[in-house]
Amino acid sequence: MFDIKNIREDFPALFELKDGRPIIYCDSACMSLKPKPVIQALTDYYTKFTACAGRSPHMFSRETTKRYEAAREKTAKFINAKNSSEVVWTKNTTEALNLGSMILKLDGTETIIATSESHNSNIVKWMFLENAGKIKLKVLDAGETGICSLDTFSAAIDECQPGKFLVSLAQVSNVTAGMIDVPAIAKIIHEKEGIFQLDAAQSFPHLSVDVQKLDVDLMAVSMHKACGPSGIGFLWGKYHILERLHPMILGGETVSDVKIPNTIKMLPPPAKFEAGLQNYGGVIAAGAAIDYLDSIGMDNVHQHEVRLSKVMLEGLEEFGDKISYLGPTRAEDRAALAAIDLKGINPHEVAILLDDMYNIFLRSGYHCTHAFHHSLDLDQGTLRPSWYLYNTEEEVKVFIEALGEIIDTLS
Amino acid sequence: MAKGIEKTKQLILLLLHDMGPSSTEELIAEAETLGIAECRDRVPGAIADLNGERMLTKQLSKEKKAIVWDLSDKVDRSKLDF
Repeated sequence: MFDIKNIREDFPALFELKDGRPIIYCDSACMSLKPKPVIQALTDYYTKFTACAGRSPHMFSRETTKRYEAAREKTAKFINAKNSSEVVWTKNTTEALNLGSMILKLDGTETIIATSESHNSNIVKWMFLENAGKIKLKVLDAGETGICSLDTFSAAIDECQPGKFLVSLAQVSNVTAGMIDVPAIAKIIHEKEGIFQLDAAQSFPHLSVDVQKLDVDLMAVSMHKACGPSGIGFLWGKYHILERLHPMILGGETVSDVKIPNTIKMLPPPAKFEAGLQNYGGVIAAGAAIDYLDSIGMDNVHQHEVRLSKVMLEGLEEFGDKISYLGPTRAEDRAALAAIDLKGINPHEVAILLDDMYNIFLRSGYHCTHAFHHSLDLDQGTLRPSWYLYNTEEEVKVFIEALGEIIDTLS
Repeated sequence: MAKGIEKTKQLILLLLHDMGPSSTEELIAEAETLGIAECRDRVPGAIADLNGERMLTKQLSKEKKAIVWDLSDKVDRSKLDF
């Protein structure tokens, strides 16, 4: 059973006061709040058994190793990976996507397909490589919905050389909130022997993500949006793809032996990608975050967010032509966030006023999708409330009311 | 020398000194013209910080459909670290 009151009790930050009054946190697409078990797991690592994993024979090190690898096992099970060796710890989604790009030969013959709504983490690298003559880049116009049709993907893929292309897409957009049909796109890509890299930064925290059902080849995740600590994420990959993937950083723990002259024996995945001292506390706390989400159930999380979305969209519709929002209009077709165009009112000012006068915390601007905002002539950016499992319908209504008051004041 | 958000805050003070009362968008636009070394989305955080430190005053302007910011007190331009 989804008990919102109990869930909220798990998140201490929800009960922080600003100027003696409660706050409403709706910036979870940027950073989720942390439940007590995650904070406890992090504290335990730093207070009870701080050590490196897998290096020393003492008790602290053995405990760290055990919990570090247990977190990998939990993560693999949570996403229905075939094997925990398919999970590689990274700093975040951005690093995971960059690591995924190491599958490329970079000889100028390969094509990367992305869409116009891509987050900077999933487009800047491709632009950089194209500028260096290393790849050919196709950016498909996602329009205001942020979603390209299957025909658009088919046509773009048809123009690629078989086995010489990579498609890198977000499952859920951080601005349009739209969701793509991942298995259908995967089928088109694999028919032509391409590689499908999924940016799951905005889907993993909110939906049940099953990598075998999705049939992608690589998937990038940030744990800080999924109740986990900041600075930890992971790249999941089909094992045979990870075997072909070149490491991005090399050093200790990536090799089984080194000899002079120039002889290195690389370890298999995931070790070959996890060079040097790792964020052990972060990984262990990420495992706690996965336990936490698993205990609630991702279907329950999603259903709760659909309810929040409905309240938000109904509220936004009441504004008529004073505002508009990007993406699908049905709550069931989108994530619980909205990038709102305030039609001439600067979104940053509204965000400042929401913080200053109403204790409502959200994000404004481009949300790291500069190219998409420019393509839609939204050069001032948008206002983005983003809700999560700990938010209530009442909070959404308070946001809508506050937004209305600010718009009335400024127009 | 100030760096990051502290540098941006110094820039905001300098801009308000030179431009007089300005909206957030006007400050962002001018900051971009001067080549701020951050994403433009960082500028509002700097303004909110200065507001929290009572370095700024704000007025809501229906004409500009915006908050108009101004300096709370006179600022010595030569002492700004930008």
